[in-house]
Amino acid sequence: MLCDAASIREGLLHVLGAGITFVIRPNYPAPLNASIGLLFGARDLPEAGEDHAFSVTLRREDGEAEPGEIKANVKFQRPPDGSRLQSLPVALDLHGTGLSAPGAYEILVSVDGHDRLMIPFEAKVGGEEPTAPFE
Amino acid sequence: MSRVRIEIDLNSRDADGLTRARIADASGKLEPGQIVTAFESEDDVQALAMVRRIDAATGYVLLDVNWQSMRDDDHNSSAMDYTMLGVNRAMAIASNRSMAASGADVVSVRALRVNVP
Repeated sequence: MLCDAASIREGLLHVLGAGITFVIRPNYPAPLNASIGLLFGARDLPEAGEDHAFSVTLRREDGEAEPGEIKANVKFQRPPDGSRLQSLPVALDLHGTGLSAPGAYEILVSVDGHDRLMIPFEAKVGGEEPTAPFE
Repeated sequence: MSRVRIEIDLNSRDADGLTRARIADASGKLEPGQIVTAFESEDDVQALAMVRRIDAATGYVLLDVNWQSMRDDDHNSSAMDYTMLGVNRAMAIASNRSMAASGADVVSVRALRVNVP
């Protein structure tokens, strides 16, 4: 999920302001100024653990990639207490990541080369406000 | 939040409108896609810029400078300028039908705003 802030503490994913669908900036290029919180789940892991490669790519909806990509290798291991279930929280700070222009964007999360998650959002120019009123 | 600062020459632009700067003139590590503060000490101005390409062989980086964000340089890379950051928001329309079926009131959210800062 795209959120204002994400962090990990005591094995838990902490998120603030999750569910961002659009960002408003006065002009571009501009900072994304947001974070991503991810939660991977695993069950019945082998004792030796499993390595997985994951990547996060920011691209425009038309498929053109923005410069830069986050790549990481993560290892799931069976918890020492023998629990069958395990969650792996991931918090990525993208506040300093750039958006080159207004428009529709996607954040693509891939695991082991397979696209697993797509987070869409729009980048707008300042002054545009949501039209639906509060109830 | 600390943003990397890098010195630029306002007159140094390539055919694509990108501004060339020396990697050695950056205050920190540069990555493609990163937002930095580009400044020119001669005119004492600064602007947001996005790192487009890094050529370690030549020692230069190509920046997409947001010329509209140009203003006087405050020489402070750690300061947050909220007027340049904008807001993050969410649009959501949701109704909790299961709660209505169990006798609870319908919870309806027409618009949910998430603001930063």
